[in-house]
Amino acid sequence: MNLLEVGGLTKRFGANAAVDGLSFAISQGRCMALLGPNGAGKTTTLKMLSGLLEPSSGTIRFIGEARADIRESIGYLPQYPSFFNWMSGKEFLEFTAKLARIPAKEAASRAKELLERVGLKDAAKRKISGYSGGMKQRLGLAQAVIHRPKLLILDEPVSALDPQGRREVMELLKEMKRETTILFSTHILHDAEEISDDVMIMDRGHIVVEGDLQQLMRDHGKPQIRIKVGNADPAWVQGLRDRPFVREFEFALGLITLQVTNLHEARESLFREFVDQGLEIEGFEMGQTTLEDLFMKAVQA
Amino acid sequence: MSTWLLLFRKEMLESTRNYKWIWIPLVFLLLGISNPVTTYFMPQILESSGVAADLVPVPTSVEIMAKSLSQYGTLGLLILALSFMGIVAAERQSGSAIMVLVKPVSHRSYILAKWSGMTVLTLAAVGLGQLGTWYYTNILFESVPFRLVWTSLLVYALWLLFINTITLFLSCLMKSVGGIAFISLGVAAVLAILTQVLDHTMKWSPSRLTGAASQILLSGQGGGDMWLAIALTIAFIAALLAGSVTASRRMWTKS
Repeated sequence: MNLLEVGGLTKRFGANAAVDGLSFAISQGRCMALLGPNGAGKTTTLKMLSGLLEPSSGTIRFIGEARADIRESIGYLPQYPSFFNWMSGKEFLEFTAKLARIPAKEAASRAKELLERVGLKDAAKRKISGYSGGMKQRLGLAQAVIHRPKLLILDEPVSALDPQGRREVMELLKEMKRETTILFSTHILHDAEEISDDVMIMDRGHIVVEGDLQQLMRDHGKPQIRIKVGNADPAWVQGLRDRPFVREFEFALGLITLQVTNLHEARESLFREFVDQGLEIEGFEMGQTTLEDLFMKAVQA
Repeated sequence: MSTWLLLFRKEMLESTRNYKWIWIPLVFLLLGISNPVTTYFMPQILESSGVAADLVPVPTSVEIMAKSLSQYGTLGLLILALSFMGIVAAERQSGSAIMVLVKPVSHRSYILAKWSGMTVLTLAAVGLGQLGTWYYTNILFESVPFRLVWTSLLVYALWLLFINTITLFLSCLMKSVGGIAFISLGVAAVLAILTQVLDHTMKWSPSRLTGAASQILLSGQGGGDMWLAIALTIAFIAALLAGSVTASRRMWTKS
């Protein structure tokens, strides 16, 4: 069932359309990654969905939501969250909870529960000005889910963090995924592959590819073999081009990448050649083209 | 709890934590006290510098109190404009306002809470300053009836609130905080000068309130045009507040 339906969403700044006629839907309980190069319109799209920015045209419809203010159903974490640094983490969460119309008593218990969950229990009474980047991001996540939103919108939630901070936030997102629908933007493709069910790739304000991640990988993913050879004979390497099972051939930095029609057949044939020619194989990897390949292809097209 | 009240309490807490609640009233108190005290010691000061003290007339109690009011209008106004110039602009710039506006909060509650915070702090500061003046004037000179003190204070404070509201409006509209303070003070100065020069045509000017407040102290009456100026100033404040709400909303949703 769809939670959110977006039709013809457009945002113009002057003559320039940052987001141009976006139409898509988010299903309830799914986690959707919004991908795209810088300037693709990701942040603008998320700001419009969270009610911070007014679309130039188009519709945003929450299904089964009678509330006048869509902000009640949405949790939002901006790309560069900024807090009231003179507040403590606990004060800030209680403040945002009350802003989301949670009664004072419940706000306090909800803040306490979330501080513990995002690992800020010990820092709860410290001023936010003394928090590290990772702690601020986790506090940002806590404020976004404090009113149990139907849709959690996160703008580049892990981009600015160090590897450890990234790990922590990713683990939290995996947990939250079980409770709510998530839409997050990222330019780290690995993160999208790790937690999202659906992906949407944007470029210059348009959607280029959209759909179920697994389905996309099946449709767009092609069987692929990578070979690293120590003593490669250039003539043999170039000759691989003409094998019947090779669809695409690439040779760079001593690494041969072959897109093949049939993995099984290709492997049989290649292994025989390795033995016959006495090649020193240093690496051999079979798999599918990745999201990164899909991304590069989609964005360059 | 209503959103307005919640945001108002946040403003109060913020101005306590960043010590605005300490130093703004303190500046006004010093301004207020220094006036009767220096006036009292003026003959000694003059004598020690060789000027005959009886050449300078001793001001009356009400004149001293009227002079204190006019000091709030210069140095006091400068302090107010400087402390409130970033009230909306700085939060927008830093991005902390997003954390408020992404929750179901109307721009009206947001702006009205800011205005109420400024108003309470300003009233407390001038009130304290004028109480200080009154106390020392009563000790060192003849006493002044309290009725004159609070009525003139309220009339004068309305002028300060008017300039505060201009600062708030500009803070919703502009990015440069320095420019916000500069223009607010500029408006105050230009209005004051125009009102003096074009005395007959500027009966509506909010800056007339400063003269009316002095009149209350000196003669017990604010003058015939005072109520017109009060009514129009309140109307201006209401219009500026409405403009601030619209400007704040446009600033966020359009760009």
